[in-house]
Amino acid sequence: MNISRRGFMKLAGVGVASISLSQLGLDLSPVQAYAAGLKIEGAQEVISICPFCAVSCHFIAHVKDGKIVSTEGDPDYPVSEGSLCAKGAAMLSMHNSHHRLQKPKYRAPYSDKWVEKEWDWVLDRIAQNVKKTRDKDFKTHNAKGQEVNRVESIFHLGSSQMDNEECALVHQGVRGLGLVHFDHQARI
Amino acid sequence: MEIIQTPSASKHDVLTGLLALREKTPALENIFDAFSPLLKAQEDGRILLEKWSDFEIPEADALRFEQGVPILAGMDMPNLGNFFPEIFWTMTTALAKGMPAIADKVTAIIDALKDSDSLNELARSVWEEDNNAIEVFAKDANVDIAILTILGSLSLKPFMNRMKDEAAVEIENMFWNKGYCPICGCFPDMSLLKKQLTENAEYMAGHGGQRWMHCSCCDHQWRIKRNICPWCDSEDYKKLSYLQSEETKTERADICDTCKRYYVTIDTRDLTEMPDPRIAPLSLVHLDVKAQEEGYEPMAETLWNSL
Repeated sequence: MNISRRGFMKLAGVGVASISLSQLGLDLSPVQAYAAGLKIEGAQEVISICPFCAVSCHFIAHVKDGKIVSTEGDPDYPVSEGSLCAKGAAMLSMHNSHHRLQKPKYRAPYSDKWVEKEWDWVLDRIAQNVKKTRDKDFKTHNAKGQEVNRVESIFHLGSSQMDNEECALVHQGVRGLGLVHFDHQARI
Repeated sequence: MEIIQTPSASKHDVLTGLLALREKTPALENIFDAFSPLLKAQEDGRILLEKWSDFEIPEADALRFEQGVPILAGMDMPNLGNFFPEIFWTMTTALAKGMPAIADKVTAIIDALKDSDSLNELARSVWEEDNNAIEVFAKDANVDIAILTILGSLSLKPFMNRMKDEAAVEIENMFWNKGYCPICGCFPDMSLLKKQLTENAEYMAGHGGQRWMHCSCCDHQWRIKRNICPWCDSEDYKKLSYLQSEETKTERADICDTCKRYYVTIDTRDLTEMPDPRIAPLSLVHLDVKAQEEGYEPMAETLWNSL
């Protein structure tokens, strides 16, 4: 037996390809005129992840000309099966909200103003502060004289979107710096 | 417990459904009028075949099935008895009535075969996709091979439909993620996005639409993932998109730029009544026109999307 997917019964199409609607005597001009009068545009469905909580529900974003025009729950995501909570269902308004931060903001010590910064600047600043703090506070021994090699003045908090493997990687990274205080929100 | 909106195929007869579609989209009325006798003949065939039980659905082998082999693949044609000739003659009358431009060719087929007792041989040739045998049959009868093949194919569809309900029971607990029909292996002529209703979580909003494909041959419906091309299995979202009119947001043509195939879709979630998938694709021929103008081919070639 031929089990090629094209080898199954194709009764719907048998003989059809050789004959068109106009050969069957149908006037296609009304439907062609109707189709021409419709403003038909293309859009894409892109699967993304809700940022709100640790369930990390998938949702489908409908994207037209590079902009999200609507969202819906992803029915194929096994945890929520397409349902969204009130926050997830409001994804589009959250995405388009003028309150949404789209660039990092920085408030300098003793300043009362937030200043927009580029990601490169922010990441460099974080790295510098981590190094400075670690260099200053790194403890090789505790009060009892036991060797500990740790930093107690930095706390690392992971996001709700981290899976087991990402958590393991971050764990190794922060342990490498000597951090002992860290946690994350993810439960996936 | 999972509750899926169920098709209302049995709620109305096809003629009532076509009448409603005709009123909704007058621009397509000549298509509805041409196909209504054929769809009525197929419905009559399905009703006639409620008495037919001379077939045995192959036992489902989960391993084989879940690797992508439809349950009826390779099945020998069952004994169609006198049902096939009866449906064939109903179909000839319907074709001639719906499409008068080819009535002379249909009449030639009626004249050539009216005393023939070998119509079931034609059925077998179509079942086995034996084009040589169909050609010989048409040549011997001196009739148009394309029209004869269409009639043979249309006359077999009620048999597939009759078998699909029992075949569906065999596979109901098995896994299927292919774009072609798990029962007969044909490609879909449309898909429906359906709302999943849950008993205990009505407060949960969103209700993402599950994609259900409708078989162009046996009428079976099966669920597949939203982000996959049913033809080539591509999951590249950059190459999967859809064409939609601003005027009718519940209708669209899903296209794949990997294989250049398309299929039409109705989003049923906000509709008050589930469309009848036996006739609904006819109401989307304008999307067939648009998709084919853009260079895409239909996944299932049907009489109404061969433009």
